[in-house]
Amino acid sequence: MRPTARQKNKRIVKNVQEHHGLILKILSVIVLVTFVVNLVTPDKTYSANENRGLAQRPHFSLASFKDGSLFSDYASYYSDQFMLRDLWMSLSFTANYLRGVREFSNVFVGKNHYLLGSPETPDEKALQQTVQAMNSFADIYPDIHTSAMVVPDSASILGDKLPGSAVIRNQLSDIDQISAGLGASISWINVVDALKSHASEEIYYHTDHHWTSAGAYEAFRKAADVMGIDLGNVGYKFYTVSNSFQGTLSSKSGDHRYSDSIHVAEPTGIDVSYIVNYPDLQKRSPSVFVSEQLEEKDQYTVFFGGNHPVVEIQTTANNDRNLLIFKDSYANSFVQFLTPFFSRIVLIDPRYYYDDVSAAINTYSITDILFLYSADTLVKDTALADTLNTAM
Amino acid sequence: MTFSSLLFLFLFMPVFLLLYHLVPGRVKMPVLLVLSFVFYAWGSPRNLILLVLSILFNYAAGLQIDAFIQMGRESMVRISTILTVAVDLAVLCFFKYVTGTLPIGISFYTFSVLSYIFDVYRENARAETSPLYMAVYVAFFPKVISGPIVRFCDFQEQLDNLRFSRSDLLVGLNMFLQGLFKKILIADTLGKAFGNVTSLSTMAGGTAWLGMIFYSLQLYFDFSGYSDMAIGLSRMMGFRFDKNFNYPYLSANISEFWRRWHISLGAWFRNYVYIPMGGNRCSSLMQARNLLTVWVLTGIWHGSTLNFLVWGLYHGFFVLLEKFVIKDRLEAVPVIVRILITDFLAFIGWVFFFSPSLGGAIHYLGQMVCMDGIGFWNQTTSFILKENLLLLIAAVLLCTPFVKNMHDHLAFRRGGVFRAVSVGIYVLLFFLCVAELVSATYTSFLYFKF
Repeated sequence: MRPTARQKNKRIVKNVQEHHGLILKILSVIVLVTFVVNLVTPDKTYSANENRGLAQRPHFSLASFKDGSLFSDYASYYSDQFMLRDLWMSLSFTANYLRGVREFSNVFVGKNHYLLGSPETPDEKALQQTVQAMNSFADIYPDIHTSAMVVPDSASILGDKLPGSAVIRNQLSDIDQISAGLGASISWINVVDALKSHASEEIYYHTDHHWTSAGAYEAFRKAADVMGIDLGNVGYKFYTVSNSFQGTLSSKSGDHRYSDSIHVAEPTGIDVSYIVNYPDLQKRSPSVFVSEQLEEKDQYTVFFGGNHPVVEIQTTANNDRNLLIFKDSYANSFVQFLTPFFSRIVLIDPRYYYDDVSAAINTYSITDILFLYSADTLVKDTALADTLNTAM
Repeated sequence: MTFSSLLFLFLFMPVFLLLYHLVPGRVKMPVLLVLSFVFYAWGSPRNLILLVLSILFNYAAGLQIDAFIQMGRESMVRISTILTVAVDLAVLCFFKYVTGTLPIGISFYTFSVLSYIFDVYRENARAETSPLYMAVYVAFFPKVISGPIVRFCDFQEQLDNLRFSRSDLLVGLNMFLQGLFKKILIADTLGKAFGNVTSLSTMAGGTAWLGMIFYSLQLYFDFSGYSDMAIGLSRMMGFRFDKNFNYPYLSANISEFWRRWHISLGAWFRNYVYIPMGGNRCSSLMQARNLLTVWVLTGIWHGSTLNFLVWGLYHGFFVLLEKFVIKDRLEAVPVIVRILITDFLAFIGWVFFFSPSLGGAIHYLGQMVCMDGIGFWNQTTSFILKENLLLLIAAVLLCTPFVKNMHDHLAFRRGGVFRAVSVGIYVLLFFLCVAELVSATYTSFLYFKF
């Protein structure tokens, strides 16, 4: 017997009631569990994934009540301390990735687990002033051998790793423009071709915006020609010091699926020792590596412990060649290859350096200068021009 | 506070529903009012002062008008009504067109109090003697910020006959959840896609078209999702309000579009402006005047810049065209074609709506016809389309009743395993909403300097 229309209707009503009723029950349980868990778990102060302090319970004040900041502070406190925060975040990342999104906060999620940042758009005026300052500076010191290296970011070299039809700014032509703007007194180190020909190797981190020691090494071999370094019998042995590095691109995109390895290099075939002096920390160290930094979130700071206004390296090379490097953090993993070839290496990071640079050149009896920047920094930088102009 | 926030979903809403349903009947309205004030004041307590002043002023004015009606002093009735409306509109216009910083929800709650004054004036409703009920009508938290604009006479009727059953709670929750999914999973993600388009300094024609489509769909899912949540919340307390959207992108002409888009606003203008002016029971010329008045008002209600006026007139133009020129001459055209034409016109209209200025809108329309000089299609267009293709397909499908009918057929008519799967999908979608809300606050602190 076929069910009558009335029986059918009754069944539909029953189905609706039970469907909606079950959802109400499940959601009630979720809300209750969330309430209890949020209540009993102690507040966290720091998120490793986001590398920032988490909002804490705001204190009531009449002023914050009146201007409404109390409410927004409480909302951020509530969401920052929401249970399983990291898990929700990866659920969101996964859902969006599955539906086809490949760009998260200006970071492309590419092939082979590569995260690739978008190249920076130059600040034309600032860049012009920087190039001009570099030229004038090199002209004041004709006896010092000056060279320059501008390193492209990973997306510009590993374009085949970009997802689908992603479009990025052509940073290589930005670099060409910089090189064309530099005068004859600065020797140009063309690292683009050197990096391109090794694009299939691990020359950039997957999860960080820096190059790896392998990438820096390829650039170093190119630089050696231009800077008059005779490699002779010197070789390098690479050691893996970490397999758990998740860098800036990982934090920015929210993609924490992959971890990088960090390698460091030791020269072989030559017996040169050195000492590193950090004037800002009033500290000395027998190594350019700071292994404690591998316990920190930003493991790239294993090189020199991060950026400092000035770092001095005194070596036993004893060849009267004293090198001054104006640099950003890309240089931090580059210097490990230079130690056998200079008596003294001085790193100046203009973003934190406020002294007169001509005095430094005299004090350290500088014979060689290297500008080593990532294109992403240099095209927007104003600090280098400011520092160089102190000498003029 | 907004419905689509962790605080609302996990604290305010559960606490409110528990309180509302646990307290005895006569305490329900005070609870509703207090929590409505909390909801409204959340974030900017100062705005609450204006809301309360507006409630008190209109409460007193309503009683006064009613008193004059009882006394039969018609001219005083008229004068006091005009004065009250003038004050309400002056306050709204002051914030909208002079200061430029709008107290949240003022466009909506001003239309609520005006509805009250008009209904009392026209004796469609009793003047409210209880300040509590008056306040509940205006500050009712599901609708105070973004509508729907419920007419006072309808609200009063609901209040008089408020009954609540378990099935109201269940049906309301279901509507609320569907609205939440529309808002967070569809509208907000479309919003990101639209943001990606507008952040481009130059764009190919196709990219601009995609942007317009993203925005048009976003606006629909955002607003209708919010309305569904509001209506669902009201239903959970026993209030039944009409739907605010009825698949507007399936309309075959612009007049029909406006009977299916933001229905409560259209009804407000029809009841309180168009019909009192004579509606369509007058000469064609007067009808055209009435229609144009409504469209100018609709335009400037949405925003204070010139582009909103143009947008209102743009729609008014097509409504007039349909009414007086086209009439039923397009009946022979297949309905799908007429729907596509209507959507095309509505979408172009949204360009005026989302642009910051009239010049901005014209610039954007220029970009749609490749005025940026980089052709109609480039790699960026492909990338944006590819990233959002699934979302776009889902959004277009959800503009029709297809998914809902399919779901209801399977889950309720067939039942069994389909019903269980549907429950699973609801829970999964709820989890995805929470994930989006949590990750919206994801900010990696870019400590690492290069």
